[in-house]
Amino acid sequence: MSAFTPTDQQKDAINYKGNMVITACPGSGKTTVIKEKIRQITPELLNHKGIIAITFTRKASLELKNRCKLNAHDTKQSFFGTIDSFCYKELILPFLSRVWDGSPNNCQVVKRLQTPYKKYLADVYEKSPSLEDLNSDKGFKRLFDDEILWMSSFAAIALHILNESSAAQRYIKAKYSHIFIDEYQDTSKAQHQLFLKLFELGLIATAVGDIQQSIFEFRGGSPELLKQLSDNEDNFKHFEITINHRSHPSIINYASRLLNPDFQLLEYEGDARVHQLELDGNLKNVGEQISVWVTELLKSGDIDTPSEVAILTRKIDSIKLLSTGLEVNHRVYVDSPLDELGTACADLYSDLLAFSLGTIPTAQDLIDKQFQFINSKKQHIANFRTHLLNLKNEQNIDEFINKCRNLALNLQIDDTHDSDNVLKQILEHEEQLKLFKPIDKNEVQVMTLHKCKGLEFKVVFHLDLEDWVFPFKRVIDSDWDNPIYPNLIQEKNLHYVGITRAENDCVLIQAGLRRNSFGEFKVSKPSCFLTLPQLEGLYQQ
Amino acid sequence: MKVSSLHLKGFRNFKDAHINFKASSLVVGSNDIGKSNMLHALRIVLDKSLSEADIEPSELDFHINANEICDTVEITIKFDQIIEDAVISVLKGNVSDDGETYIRYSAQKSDLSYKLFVGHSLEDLQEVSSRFYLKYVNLKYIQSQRDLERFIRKEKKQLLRIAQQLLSEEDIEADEELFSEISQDLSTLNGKVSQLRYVTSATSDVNEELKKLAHHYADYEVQLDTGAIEVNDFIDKLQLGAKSNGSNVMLGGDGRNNQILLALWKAKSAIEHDLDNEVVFYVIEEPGAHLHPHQQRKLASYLTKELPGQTIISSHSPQITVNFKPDSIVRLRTKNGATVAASEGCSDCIAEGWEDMSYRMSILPAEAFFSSGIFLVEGPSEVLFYHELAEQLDIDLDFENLSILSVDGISFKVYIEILNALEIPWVMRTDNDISKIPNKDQWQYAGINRCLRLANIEPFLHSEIMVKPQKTIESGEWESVSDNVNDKGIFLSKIDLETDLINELSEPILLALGKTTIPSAIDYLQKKKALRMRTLLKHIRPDLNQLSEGELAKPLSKLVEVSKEVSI
Repeated sequence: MSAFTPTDQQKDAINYKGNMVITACPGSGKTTVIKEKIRQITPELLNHKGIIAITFTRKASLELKNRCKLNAHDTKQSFFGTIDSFCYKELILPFLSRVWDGSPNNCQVVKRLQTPYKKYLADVYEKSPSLEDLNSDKGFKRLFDDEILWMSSFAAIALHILNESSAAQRYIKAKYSHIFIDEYQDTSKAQHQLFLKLFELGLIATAVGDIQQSIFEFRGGSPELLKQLSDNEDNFKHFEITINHRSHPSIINYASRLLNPDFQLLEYEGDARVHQLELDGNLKNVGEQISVWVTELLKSGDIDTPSEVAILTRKIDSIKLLSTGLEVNHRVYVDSPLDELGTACADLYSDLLAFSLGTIPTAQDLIDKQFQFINSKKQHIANFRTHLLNLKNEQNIDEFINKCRNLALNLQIDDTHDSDNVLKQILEHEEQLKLFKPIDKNEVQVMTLHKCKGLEFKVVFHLDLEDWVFPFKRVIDSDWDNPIYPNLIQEKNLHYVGITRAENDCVLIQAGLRRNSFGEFKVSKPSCFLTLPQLEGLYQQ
Repeated sequence: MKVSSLHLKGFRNFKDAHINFKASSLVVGSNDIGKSNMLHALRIVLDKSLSEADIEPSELDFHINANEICDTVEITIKFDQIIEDAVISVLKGNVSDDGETYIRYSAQKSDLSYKLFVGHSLEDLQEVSSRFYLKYVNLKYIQSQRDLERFIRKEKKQLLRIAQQLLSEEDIEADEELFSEISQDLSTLNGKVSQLRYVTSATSDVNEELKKLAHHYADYEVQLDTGAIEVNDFIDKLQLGAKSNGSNVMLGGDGRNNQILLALWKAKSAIEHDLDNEVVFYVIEEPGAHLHPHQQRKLASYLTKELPGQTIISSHSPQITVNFKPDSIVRLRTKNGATVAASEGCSDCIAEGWEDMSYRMSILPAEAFFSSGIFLVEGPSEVLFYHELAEQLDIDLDFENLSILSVDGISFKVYIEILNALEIPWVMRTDNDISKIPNKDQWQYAGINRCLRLANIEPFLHSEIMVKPQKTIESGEWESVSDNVNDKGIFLSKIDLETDLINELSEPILLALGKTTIPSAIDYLQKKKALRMRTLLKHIRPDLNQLSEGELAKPLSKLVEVSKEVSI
C-alpha cells in the first residue's frame, strides 16, 4: 500500500480541492483515489470535524474506513457507511422529531414493508421514494406514527429533515466539511437530491462512479444522475480515470469495444485473453468441462487456489444446473431462503447462522451490524451478547432454533414463525447450510453477474451467453418476428462488469443447449453480445 | 453558547429554585446561603476536573428542611445561543432550531445513583451515558482560598509546555541552538565550581584515607561535583516575578498571587481552547478575597471584560458589585427555609430612562445588595437625621443590617424597581411637594401622586386653584393618602423634613437655633440643609427620643418590621 504511486489521472483527481465528479473505469483504483483524498483532507480539519464517505455496501465502507485509518491516521469525526446508515444516524434519529411529531427512537427499521404496512402507501415505490413522493403521500407519516421506518425512504426523509430543520443544517455544517459518494451510478433520485443539498449547504462534494457499470436501475439506481453531475461543469469539475490496472489489455480492449465501437485499442504482446467458446450440451456439461479446466489451471500454476476462479451467470437458475456438473469444490453465492424472506427476523437468523459457523468472526461484528439501526442501552447489548455466545456451541437443531428465537425477542422481534421454519429447513440441509460457511480458498466461486460487482478474479468463466437468455429477449403480443430486448443498455453494462472482473483470462461460454421459460432444452444460438462486429479479432475461438 | 438558566430541585440549600444568568453574572448573598452550592451544581454538569466519582451524589446533597426530605436531586441547565461549531457537532440533535439545549443531572437518594439527560427541549430529554459534551464545552472553576502557590507552579509548567507547542519551526531551531549554548555555559560553570579551593580540599582528606585502605583503590578518587545541573533544572526553577523599574521583584502576598493566577489562567485558556469553536464558562468564587477594595473593583472589571466566555462570579464583597448592573445580579436569599434567587436572578428590573441618570455602573451603593432592608429618602439631610433618630430610638441599623439611602432627588421609582427585583424590603419617605404646571393655571400634587403611583393607586387630578401643602392637611387629604400608602412602606411628609421636625419638636429646636418663631427656624434650616441639620442634631440629640410616637419615626419602625418579615 505504501508503495502507491498514482498515475497522472489519479494525481489530478487527488489534488483537486473543489467539488468534483470522478468517473472511473473498472480496476482503475478509484477506492484508492477516494482514500488518498480523505487522507489528504483530514489532517487539515479541526478536531471536531470530519468528512462523510458513503459507499454502496457495508463491506465496502469497512474496507474504505480501514484503508483510511491505516497507520493510525486520524480521520477525526468522519463518517464511513452506507447512505442508509448516514441518513439514519446523522439525520433521522437526532432530528426527525423536529419535523414529524413523534420519536424515531422507538421505531422499528424495516428493509421490506410487510402487510398491512405496505397498504399505507399509494405506490410500491420500487425505485425508492423521492422527496416529492414523501411530501405527497401521507402514508409515510402514517408508517412513522405506527413506529415503522422503511429503509428505502431514508434518503427522502433525511432530505425532508435538512430542508425543514435549521438545527439539522447547522449540525451537518458544523461537523462535516466534505461528502464523498461512491458508486454514484447506482444512486437513487432522493439520494442524488440529498447529495446536492449537502453541496448547497457548503460541503465540498465528490461523486465517484461509472455509468458503464450501472446495473441496478431496476431497483432505483439511475445512471442519468451521474451524467447530470458531470455535465454540471459550473459546479462540478469532471475527472476521468480511464486506466484499468486490473485486467489484461486484451480484456480491456474487448470490454471497452463492447460499449464503445470506436474505442482505441491498447497494444500488447502475445495472444488475446478473451475466449469465446461454444460447449456441447447443457450447463451441467459445461460444469463438467470447467471442472477439468480448473484442475489444469491449478496444475499449470496459472492459479494458486480454486477461489481465484469465478463462474458468473446471468440467471440464478443457471447456477443450480451448473452445480450438478461441477466436480471441483465450489461455493455458490445465491440468496438463501432467509434472504428471500427478507424480514428483520430472517436477517438476524442469517447473521446468527453465519456467526455460529464462524463466517461472522466475533460477537461484536454481529452486534455492530444488527444494532446498526437500533437505539439501545449498553445493558441491553450486554444481555444480547451473553445469549449470543451461548448459541455458538449449540448442536441440537431445535435448541438452536429456540435460542435464535430468544435473541429475536431480545431485539423486539415477536413474529418469528416463518423464519423459524426456514431456519429448521436450512439446518437440516447441508447444501443450504453451506451458504453460511466461511469462504474457503479451495472453492471455486459461483455467482450471478449482479453479485460480482467490485470483486476481481484471475480467471472468469462467463456463462449464459445464449440468444434469448442474455441479453434477455422477449416477444410482445406474439409478434415472433420482432422480439425485443427490454433492458439492453443495463444488460450490456452487466456483461461489461462481468468481463472486467477478470485479471488474466475471461472465458465467454455459450452452452449448446439452453433452457427456455418452460424448462425445455433447446438448441441454442449465440448471444448477440458475442457477434458484435466491433469485437472481431479481439478474442480467441 | 451561554448558560441561560439553572433549575435546582432538592439540591442542598435549594428546594426548587430557578436562576437566570446574563453574559456575566454576579452571585451575592449572605454567608451559608448556598452560593458555593449553586456553583457546584453548575460544576457537576460542566466541570471536567470533577471525575465521574466526584459527581456521584452523597446523602448530604439531598435537601432537608423542617417538613420534608427530598429524595431526588435535579439540576437542569438551559443553554442558549449555541453557535459554536464544535459544540453543535458534539451535541448533534440536542440543539433546537433556536440554538437551545437542556442538560439535566438527576440523582436518587435511595441508591445514590445518578443519571444524565440531554435534549433540545425539556419534553425531549434523552438519557446519555456520560458527560460526552465536555469534549468541547468547558467550565473553568477557580476558588481563591486554595493553595495558590502550588497552583501557580502547576499552571506555570502547563503554560510553558503549551507555549513550546505553539512555536514555529524557526523559533524551535533558535531555541535549540540557545539551549545547547546554555548547556555548554553550564558545563563550564560546573567545571569552575569544582575548582573552588574549598570544594576540592573538602574531599582531599577522604581520598588520602582511601589510599591507605588498599593499594588497588589508588586510582579511585571521590570528589564533590555540581552533579547534573542542567538547563531544565533552571527552567523548572523559574519563578513568576514582576519587573519594577527594570529590577526584578519577587511577588508576595496572597492578594497579588491571586491576580497573577487569574491572568495566568486566562492566558492558558485562550491558548488551550479554540474559542471560535469551543465554549468556556468561567466560574469564580470570591475572587477578591485577599485584595483591598480598589483592587477588588479592578479585578472584577478584568474578569468580566477580559475573560473570553460567560463569567459567573460569586462574592460577598460589596466592592465587586460596582461592576455589575442590577440586572446581572443574582441575589440568593432564604424563603420558607430554602434558598431561592430573588426574582429568579438577573431580572430585567432596570427602568427605562435609567441610562440618563446613571453616572456609574450601579446606582445602588454596593452595600445595598447585602441589606436586609432599605430606607429611601430624598437627600443627605434626611440621611443624617434618620441615622441620628435611629440611634436615639435604640434601633441598631448595622446590627439589623439596614441601610438609609438617599435617592438624591425624587427618582424613587427607579430604585424601588431594582429593590423589588432583588427582593430587598424597603420603605421610603418623600416631601409633600405641590408645584405649578408650567404655562398653565394648574397645580399638581407632586408628592401625593408620587406616593399614590408607587402604591398603584389612582393619582389626584391637577388643581385649578393654587394649593399649599398645609391645605392638604387641613382638608384631610394628607391623612387619607397616608392611610392608604403607609402599609406599603410609603410615607409622605406633612410638608417636608425641616418643617415636620420643627413642628414635632419645636421647643428644643427653637432653643438650639436661638430662634423665636417657627417660620424663622424653618427658613434657617432650609438653607444649607445638610450642614445646618448636622449642627442642629448635635444639640437636640437627647431630645430626639420624644419623637418615638410621632409621624417622623414611623418609617423607621416600618423598616424594622418589613426586614423581619422577609428574613423568616
